Amino acid sequence: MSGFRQAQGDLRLESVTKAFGDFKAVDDLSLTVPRGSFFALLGPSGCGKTTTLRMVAGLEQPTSGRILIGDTDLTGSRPYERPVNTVFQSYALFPHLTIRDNVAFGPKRRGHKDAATLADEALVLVQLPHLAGRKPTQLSGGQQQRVAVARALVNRPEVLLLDEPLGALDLKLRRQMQVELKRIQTEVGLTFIHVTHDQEEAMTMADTVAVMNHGRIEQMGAPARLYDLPSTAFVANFVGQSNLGVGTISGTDGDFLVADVGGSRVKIPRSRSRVQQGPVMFGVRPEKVRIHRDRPTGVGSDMQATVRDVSFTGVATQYLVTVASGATWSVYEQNLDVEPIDLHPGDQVWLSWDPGHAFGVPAEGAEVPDGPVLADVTITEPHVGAAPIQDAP
Amino acid sequence: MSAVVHGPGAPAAPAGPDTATRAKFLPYLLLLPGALWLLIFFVIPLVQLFTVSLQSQFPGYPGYYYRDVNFKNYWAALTEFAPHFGRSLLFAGIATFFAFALSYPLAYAMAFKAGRWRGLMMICIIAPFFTSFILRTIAWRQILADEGPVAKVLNTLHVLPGGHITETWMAVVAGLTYNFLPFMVLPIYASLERVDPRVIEAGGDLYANGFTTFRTVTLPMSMPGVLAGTLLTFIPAAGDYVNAELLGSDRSTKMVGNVIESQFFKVPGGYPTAAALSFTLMALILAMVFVYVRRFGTDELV
Amino acid sequence: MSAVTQSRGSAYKPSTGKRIQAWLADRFAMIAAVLVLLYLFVPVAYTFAFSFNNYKKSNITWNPEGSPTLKHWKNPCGAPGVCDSLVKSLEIGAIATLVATILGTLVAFALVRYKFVGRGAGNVLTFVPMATPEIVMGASLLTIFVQGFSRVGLQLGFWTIVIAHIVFCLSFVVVTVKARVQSMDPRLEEAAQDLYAGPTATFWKVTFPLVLPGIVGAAMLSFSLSFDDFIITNFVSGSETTFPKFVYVSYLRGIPAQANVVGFSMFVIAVSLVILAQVIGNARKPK
Ligand SMILES: Nc1ncnc2c1ncn2[C@@H]1O[C@H](COP(=O)(O)OP(=O)(O)O)[C@@H](O)[C@H]1O
Ligand SMILES: [Mg+2]
Repeated sequence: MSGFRQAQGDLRLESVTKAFGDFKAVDDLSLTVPRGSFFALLGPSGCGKTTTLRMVAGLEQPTSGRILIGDTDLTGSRPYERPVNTVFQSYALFPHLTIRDNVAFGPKRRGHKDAATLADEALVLVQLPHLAGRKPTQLSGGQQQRVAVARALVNRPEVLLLDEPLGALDLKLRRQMQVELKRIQTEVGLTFIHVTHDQEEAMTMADTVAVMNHGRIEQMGAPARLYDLPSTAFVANFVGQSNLGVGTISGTDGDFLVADVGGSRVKIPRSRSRVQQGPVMFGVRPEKVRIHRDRPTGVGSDMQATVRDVSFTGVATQYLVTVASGATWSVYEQNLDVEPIDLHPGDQVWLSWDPGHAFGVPAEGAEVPDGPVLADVTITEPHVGAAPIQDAP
Repeated sequence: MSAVVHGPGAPAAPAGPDTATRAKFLPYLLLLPGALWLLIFFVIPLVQLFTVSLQSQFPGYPGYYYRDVNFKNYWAALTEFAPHFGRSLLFAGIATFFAFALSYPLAYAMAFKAGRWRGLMMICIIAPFFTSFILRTIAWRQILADEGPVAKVLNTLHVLPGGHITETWMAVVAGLTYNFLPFMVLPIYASLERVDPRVIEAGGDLYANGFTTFRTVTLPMSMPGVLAGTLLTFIPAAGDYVNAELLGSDRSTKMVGNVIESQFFKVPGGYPTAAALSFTLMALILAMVFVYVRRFGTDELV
Repeated sequence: MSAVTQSRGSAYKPSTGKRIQAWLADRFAMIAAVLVLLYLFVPVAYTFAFSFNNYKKSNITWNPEGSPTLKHWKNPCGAPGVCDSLVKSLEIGAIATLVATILGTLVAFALVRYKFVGRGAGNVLTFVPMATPEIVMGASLLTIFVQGFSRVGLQLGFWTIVIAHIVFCLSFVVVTVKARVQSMDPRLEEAAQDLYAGPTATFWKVTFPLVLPGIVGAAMLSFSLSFDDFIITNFVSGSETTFPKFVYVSYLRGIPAQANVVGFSMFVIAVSLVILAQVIGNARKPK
């Protein structure tokens, strides 16, 4: 216990790189997590989230770079010397100890005399005081998850790391636990770093979301900000979905850039584009787009398209349409109208949107993940039961 | 998933000069007592036995030897005692086969069907050791004897060639099968226990036919255990002499073990021959094991 | 398996023949297993039965005149050598098990947990004794005890038996404990470290308790092997007598029924001790 670092403050990663052989699992990553915030690290499987957490926990040492809490450099110190605790991906509860002893493990190691009391308090916090005497194998997945949280929280660490803590739970329990975790974080006021590959989870829980891809942070910010203005094509499709099209900036129109995307002229607010000239990837969110039989008047931007698929989901209807460039876009229409427009695959329609919602991201090296837009095409086909696309007039 | 990649058991070795040196010497420190023990009481005795196998008799002084490089002992081992080697390998082979046939269902039931009876079944397999293998072998001798129940029934049915079980190869093989059965069951069970029952269920869904599932899914997954079990049965069975001594006859069922034992204890000046026989046996077994492991093996054994 | 598949279709009523077949298929392994266990017990039962034999000269055939007797059970040490050899076997088994379990556990940890020069050799060195016929091991040990160790005062007897038993028990301990250490989830130790346990605390609070069942199992196996060993013991025992050796040596003269009493009692004691341990273990487990 001699080397324990009593650090306080923001968590900072400075140019942290972790290489396994030639492969860089985490690549020159820098970020600051403000003290007391709920921070989500979001990214697809294999992008280096767990590796990042393990470096913060001290279970892995960075190949280069520094990890600090406040002004205390933690790089090189051992896991048991850091004021950091982890909720492991598979919980890693000690099978030979009771729930109470599991939770009391940390306090005991740090020489707390009232470790059992602390453990019981932590179990109250996660609403499991009645199971204190059981063994981990006698608990359900959701209960084990709470115990794992209690076991880490009881130590009141400076930073609590949660590695996909809800990944093994079913959807309903997951939603419930999201609320629960958020409540606990607000209650104890500790810094939470929550790793997940579920964008909805990250958005609903976190104050700040960092989107990670290939060992790098693509974008970081408040959830609403990330959604509203993604700065890369990857983020545009990983956080929610986007209708994207590669084009070239051809001129300006007041506060707008004008770009030519697959034969259509579209406008992007200057302030919402990461590139100001040359190739650009234009994007607009599906729910910002309206669909019409006839060309609307007085709206900012429009485009002609062919309906490929219609799926009615109750509150909304999702349309998949083919635009002039050949790309597939999706459109969410809220079912507000008394008499909804009755569209079928093959119908010619007009799309319109407020150009203020459009955004531009770099086109080069743009990597569009297997977003739901493309995947949906095959999945939704049977929904409608309409004629196959090639039969369309 | 990712945890598998983060892999090998050792907690991440933290930096720092003191722990680095400690981590370097610690494994040797842990290994040292055991390794020394095996070196002094296993390797060196084998080397010594090998030099004995090359010794020659002192002319005129029966029972005295001098150091030599004399392969005559090996020649005698291979010619004079060839039938004994043949029997050892053959009996051990048959016994291994039967032990496998009996053990697999037992191990399978323990792994997948026994539920809370698993522990009890495990005890039942090991507990007979405590009655003593000699006592149990003698019990078999009486059970299989001419006036015993088994031989009587078989003889009334006229299905027993020669009319006897004891004093024949059948009793010896039966004894070997019985005595080494636990060494077959335990490794097979250990390997089956690690198989996830859901994998087998998946196999059942794919093939519907229980036997196909077994052949294509269960059996291959238990191969490391089968391999270890057959070796742990075959090797001691091939070197055994107690079963042949207690259940067999004086002439036609003697195995190499019997010869080694009597050369050591009963034949004056038999030491070098016994040593040569031991080494030949070991070489034969190692050769067969090598071929066998090459054919079926995994590197999980060592 | 097939039975499970069939029972899913509730509307489908298979014929009685089919049902019996399915029932048998499902139970086949268990039925076969019970039969094999019974087969393992046949000579034990024989030993038990003949412990009541009211024989005159030798306990080989049942004496039809004398009625079954309890006299051997009342006086198990009555025949010379039975209890002395039993005590020797227990002592040897205990010492050999203790030493082999400690040394073997250390070796197993070294071989699983560290990568070092000589690890392959260590694996081979601990495996080869298991692949060596007992008679070869016994013969080689006899050779070295007679030709080398007697000069430094180690005569054939109790301690040479202990030494020899440790050799073969050691291999079994290493293999058993190795498997247990290998199957342990490495994340548990990481979790301990994460919860402020240094290397020492991690080992004693997490690693050791989790490997302990493997160590106990290895010790039990060790003791059983040592207690029942005859071939190696016979080579290195000199004039010392263990229980199996006593039985073997007295075979020609006739084994006293007291040996049957002792053999069967040991069996019962072993089974009861293990069951007792399990029951206590289960009772201590919180519900
Ligand atoms: N110990 C390791 N050795 C080699 N490669 C590793 C190791 N740990 C992780 N990786 C690799 O690093 C990448 C990132 O892994 P990880 O951090 O677990 O991803 P995530 O948690 O985001 O799914 C993966 O491609 C993985 O294969
Ligand atoms: Mg991960």
